[in-house]
Amino acid sequence: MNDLPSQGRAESTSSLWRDAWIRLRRNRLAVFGACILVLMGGLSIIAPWIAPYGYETQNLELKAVPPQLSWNTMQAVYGRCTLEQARTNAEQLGGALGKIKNTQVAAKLHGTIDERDYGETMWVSDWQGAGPKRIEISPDGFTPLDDAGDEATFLYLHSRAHWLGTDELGRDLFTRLLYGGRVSLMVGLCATSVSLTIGVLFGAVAGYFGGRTDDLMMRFVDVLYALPFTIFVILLTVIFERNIWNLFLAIGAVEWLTMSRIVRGQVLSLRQQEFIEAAIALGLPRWRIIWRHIIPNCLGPVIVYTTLTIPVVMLLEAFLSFLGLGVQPPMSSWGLLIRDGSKVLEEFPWLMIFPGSVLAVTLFSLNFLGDGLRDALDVRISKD
Amino acid sequence: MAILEVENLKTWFHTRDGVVKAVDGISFDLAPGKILGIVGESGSGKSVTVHSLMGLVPQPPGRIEDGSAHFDGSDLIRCAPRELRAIRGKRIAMIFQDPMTSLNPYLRISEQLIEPLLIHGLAEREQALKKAIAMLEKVGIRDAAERIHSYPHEFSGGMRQRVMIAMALITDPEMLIADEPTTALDVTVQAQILRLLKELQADLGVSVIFITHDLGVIAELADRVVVMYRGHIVEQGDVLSIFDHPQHPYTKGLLACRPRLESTFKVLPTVSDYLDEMEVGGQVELSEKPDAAAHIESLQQVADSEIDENDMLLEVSGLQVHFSERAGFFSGPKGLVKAVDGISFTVPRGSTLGLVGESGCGKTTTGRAILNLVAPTEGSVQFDGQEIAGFDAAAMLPLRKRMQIIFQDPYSSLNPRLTIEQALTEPMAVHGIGRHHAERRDRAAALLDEVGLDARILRRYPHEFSGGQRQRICVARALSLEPEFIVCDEAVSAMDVSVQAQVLNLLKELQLRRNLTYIFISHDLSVVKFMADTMAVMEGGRIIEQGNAEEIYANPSEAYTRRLIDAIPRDSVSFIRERVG
Repeated sequence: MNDLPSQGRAESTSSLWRDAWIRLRRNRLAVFGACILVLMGGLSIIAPWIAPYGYETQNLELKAVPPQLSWNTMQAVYGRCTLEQARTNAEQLGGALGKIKNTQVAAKLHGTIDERDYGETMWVSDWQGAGPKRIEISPDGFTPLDDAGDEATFLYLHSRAHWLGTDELGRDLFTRLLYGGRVSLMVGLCATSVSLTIGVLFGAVAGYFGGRTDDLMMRFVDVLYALPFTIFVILLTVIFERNIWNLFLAIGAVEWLTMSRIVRGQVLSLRQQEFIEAAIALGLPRWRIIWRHIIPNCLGPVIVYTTLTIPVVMLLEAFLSFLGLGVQPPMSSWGLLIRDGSKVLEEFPWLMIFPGSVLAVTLFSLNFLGDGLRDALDVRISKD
Repeated sequence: MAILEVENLKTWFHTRDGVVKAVDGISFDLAPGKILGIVGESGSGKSVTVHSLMGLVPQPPGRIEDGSAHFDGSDLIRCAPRELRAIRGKRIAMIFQDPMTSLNPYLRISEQLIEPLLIHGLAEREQALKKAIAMLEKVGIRDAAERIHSYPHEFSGGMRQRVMIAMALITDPEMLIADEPTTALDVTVQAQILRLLKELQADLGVSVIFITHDLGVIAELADRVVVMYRGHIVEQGDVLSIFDHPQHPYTKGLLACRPRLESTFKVLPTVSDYLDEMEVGGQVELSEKPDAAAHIESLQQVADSEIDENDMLLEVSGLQVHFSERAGFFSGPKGLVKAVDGISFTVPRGSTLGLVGESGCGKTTTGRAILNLVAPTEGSVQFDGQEIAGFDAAAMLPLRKRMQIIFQDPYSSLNPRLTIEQALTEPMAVHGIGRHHAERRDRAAALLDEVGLDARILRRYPHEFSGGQRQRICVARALSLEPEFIVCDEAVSAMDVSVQAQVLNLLKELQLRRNLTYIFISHDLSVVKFMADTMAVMEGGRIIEQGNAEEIYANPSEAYTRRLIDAIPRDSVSFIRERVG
């Protein structure tokens, strides 16, 4: 036992969190999960800049188009409209027409134009965004005209791919997924943080002080459990202003109940451990005992339960949105997309498959990361 | 003809850090109707040995590399699982260490008792129940016909161990394996269980393998002894010859390190006083230290410190601690448990008071109440002339530096998520000892040195240490605040005797060096007598006898004290000679 010679100096300091960080980095699966999450979060944040369409942009002519990757797909749509409408449409579709030069348009259009069309005038917008131009279709191709006319045939050139297809209202699914990620990930993050903070602190305090304090605090939890969830959230959103942040708060305020019970149970058994009694005998302040000795030792179940809470919270958001309490269409969230997709699963399976897969990948990553964190924080797993 | 012949058994564990040769080529026989004691400290491979015989070694990481164990024509190591299952529980039964966890709390005793009979098809339900009741009576449980329908929690630890024994013996096995069956029990209960096992063995003629870390228990019980160390058998022989003429230095050390009631050692000899371990080409060679005898001789010469009987550090008078049992949220207190019921004693500065008694006698609560870890109901506690009973956390804060406690279980008394450095420096930081962290870290290193540990362990976590090392860390933590007074609450009860001797020596050494005052709480009178200057015997929340430790041992005035003394296993050669005839 005292066979090693005593060496005066100790090696440099280490702490639970730093050691945990080192161990976490060695866990490939956890690092992979973290990368995926960062990627998802990053894409959601920069959604307005990278989304190919607007999240509310509808193209009624292209309802429920299956995923298509080809850049060459083009559809010409004819229709009559006023000049003003043509202008608006062309502005809206400025992006849609992008990256295709007039000459290409012309070349492509040759195949679809037959003799009947000669002499027709149409409004097109070119990719440089130079605004609608009136052109006339002639056997030689397109003849630009001046744009003074009050009625025209509008040629809508659809040329961009819908990678993940479109929904029943002709909105690009990829775009809506990117935007939906903003809401869903925020809900996951915020509501879970709220539930984590309240739940862990409440549970730790109740378990640590025990006795009457514990009784009162836990009865309070029971009362909240007894309230119907929707009524409670409606109450919260009515009392406070109805916006997305209050939605996060409301969900968090409901989800912490189970967390506090789990933590309390852990703390009750931890309190029996002699190191807590030793800490009291050493004169450590209560908050320090709770913060440094109790909470770190509950982290295992807390992390596992947190990774289970996140999907619940995301689906709750969808449910609340359905009731008109959450995000409102045309804004989207993953939960909403999945719910909408599930209704048309047989006809348009991609509307379910893609949002579902994105959610599944996110949750897998979360679980990998959560398990990695739990292992990293358990110092008993040897540091090889 | 032996009932069990074990030959060249090798059980190795293949872990990430390499091969651990837990059992490395051991051979022994068990004669029919005899008791074989396997003795060794934790990690010696004694439990792995019997687990290998019973097919209980987890594989992987464990693997039985070689060897055989012949039991009535079948080789337990090589036979098919089906064959082993037919033997296990029916012809070879086993008793485990912890009676609190080895019974299923949700099943009535009756169900658990008759299960082996039903599984092995030995009896119908009716007969099985009858047999179970008879067996319970045999192991000394009164009103067995009624109590058989109780649940495990309705029995005390000793009673549960009796039930476990009844369960093991109910199929009339030819062989019984007892794996430290008394280690988790008080000495008085241990004595009862040992007596019971001896009687049953003589009565039923069953052959027994008894595993323990305590040679004293072996002396009470065994016919033959196998001494294991680091996976090898270092010595085996008849119990009398082992105790009379131990050959191996490890056996000698193990024999010497038990605190004895009759000896007056001030420092306990330890195994390392006898045993030299040298690593030669990857193999550990054991040899006897040349000057061992002279060294042991010198241990007796160590002088005691002078104690001023009038300089009282702690005076307790009329201390009461009552707990009320609460029935529910809205109802009032249901009953009152008088854990400590009016006790008084004094402890002079620099001395040790031993508190001794069985579990539930209130000795632990007394220690907690003195430190205000539980609130005293009544009475006064004067520390260095200051009345401290009932102080709240804030008032106790300056006193926490001066009064410390060391707990029984070194496994739960260190926060598993703090490094040793954090555990040692945190109390200093709270009490403003040391100007900055570097200074506190140096102090922590010095403390580790003082308790005989390497300062390089500061960065490590508690789980990397053995029980004895952890207890040293706990001592260092208690010392980090430079206290004058320490309550040692069963501080060595969970330890092997060999480790216990080291920790007891450490505590004594620190007392001399730092003029510490101890309250030493234990259920084991031999340990208390070694440590204490004065002794108080507790029963049912009261002190029934107190005074000079030597005198109480020599002339106990209470029957209860007598019982505590008698419960300590006797291991004198004359006693063994008389026993084995």
